[in-house]
Amino acid sequence: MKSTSIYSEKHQWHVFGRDPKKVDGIVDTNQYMIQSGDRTLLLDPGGIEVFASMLTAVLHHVRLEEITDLFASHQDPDIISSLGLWEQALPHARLHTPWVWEGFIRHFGSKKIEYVPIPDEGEILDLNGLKLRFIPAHYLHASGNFHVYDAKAKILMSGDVGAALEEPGAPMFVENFERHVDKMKLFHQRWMPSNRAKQDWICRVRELEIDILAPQHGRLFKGEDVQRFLDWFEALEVGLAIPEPASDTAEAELEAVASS
Amino acid sequence: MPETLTTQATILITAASVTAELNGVNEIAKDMTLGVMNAKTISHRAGESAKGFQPITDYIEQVAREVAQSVVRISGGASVLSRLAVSYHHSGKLLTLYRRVLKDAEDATHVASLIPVITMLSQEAQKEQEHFVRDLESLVRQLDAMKNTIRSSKVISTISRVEAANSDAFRKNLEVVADDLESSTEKIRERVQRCHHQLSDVIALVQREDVS
Repeated sequence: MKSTSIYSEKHQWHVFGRDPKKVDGIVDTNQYMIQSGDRTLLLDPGGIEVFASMLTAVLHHVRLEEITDLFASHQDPDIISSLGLWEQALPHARLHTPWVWEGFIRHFGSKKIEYVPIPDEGEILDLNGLKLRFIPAHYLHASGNFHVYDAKAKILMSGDVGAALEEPGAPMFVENFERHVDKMKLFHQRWMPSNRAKQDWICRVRELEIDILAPQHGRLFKGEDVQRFLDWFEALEVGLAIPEPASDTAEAELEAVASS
Repeated sequence: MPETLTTQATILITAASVTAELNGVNEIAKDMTLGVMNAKTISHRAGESAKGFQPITDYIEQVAREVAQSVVRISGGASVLSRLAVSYHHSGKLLTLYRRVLKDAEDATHVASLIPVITMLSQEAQKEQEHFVRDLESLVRQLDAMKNTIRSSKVISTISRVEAANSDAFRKNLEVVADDLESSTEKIRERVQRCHHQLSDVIALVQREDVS
């Protein structure tokens, strides 16, 4: 699995992804890790299928006992189905996850790990002095959903917002925003169910200073591409990527019912 | 069993097969109970000439009851077998996965931090294996106890045939009862024997697996 450092000062951010050993047919994912002193947080650590590669990659940076916290933005299997495997190695770690999903996430073979439910309004995690904000992103796309903002590094880990489904081995950062739009348009129209939730999130996120927007699939946005993305997303109608009803047929059926 | 089956698949198939065999045993035991009611009626009508047959019917009734009770106990154990099989398989799979990471990450700076985890998983897998074998052996012991009950039932069927011969007017009817008892006993014995073999095979299979 490819490991890329995206911020390295007093604390560090790494992104893991583009796994050449990934099983065919499963969607590629980005996993993130924040190291702050002797504490480490794994963000959306991934599904069962990427666990071995992910653990191997992580061991190049930290000792297992230094991984003290896990974060799951929501309950999807590509986000956290590896939980039952991680907890064998991290029996003392805590899992921060939206309160609505705790009972569901436990289906991923989790028996020992301590759950820290995140309230709907979000909260702050103190990772060895580094303040990380859990930003509400409900209905983007899950009904309980958070992103993680690091004001020091000016990075927003944005879960499925900004995601693109791409071919294996795609670059880690967006290089041409206009060309990238095609890769993410359908994903956002289909996976994001609510314009109101989207607008709510846009307002919240526009108040943040962001150098890197880091989604869970596809390429990361940096610099001006972050604002380009927010503008594009704001203008996009979502929750509509379903086939149009065949109106002629429907009308004909209605008329047939009415005349019978 | 085919070599291509995994241990877990073999155990799950065995659990299902043992449960099916025991259901069959239960049905036979129910038939035995019905047969006893018939035998009691006949020996009552035969009166003095079937006097020796009457205590036999009580004994057959007792055998049928004991068999049915054993079936309930062993069936419960067999259904736990499926759950244990999944748990046993899971612990072995975890260990294999972590060992794979240990190999893949051999050049990683912090690979040594995996070793205590693998040691712990290995100990847990061994405990799981021992627990599993203990439970399987307990099922086999319960089957052995059932085999003893069946063995004495076979003796009773021989005695009942002798007693039937002494009852002139009802000889034929009582011989049918004796035949039915003998046939039921044999069917139960065959089924219990098959369960015994299957569980013994699984014990050998699990014990052959190296989870250390």
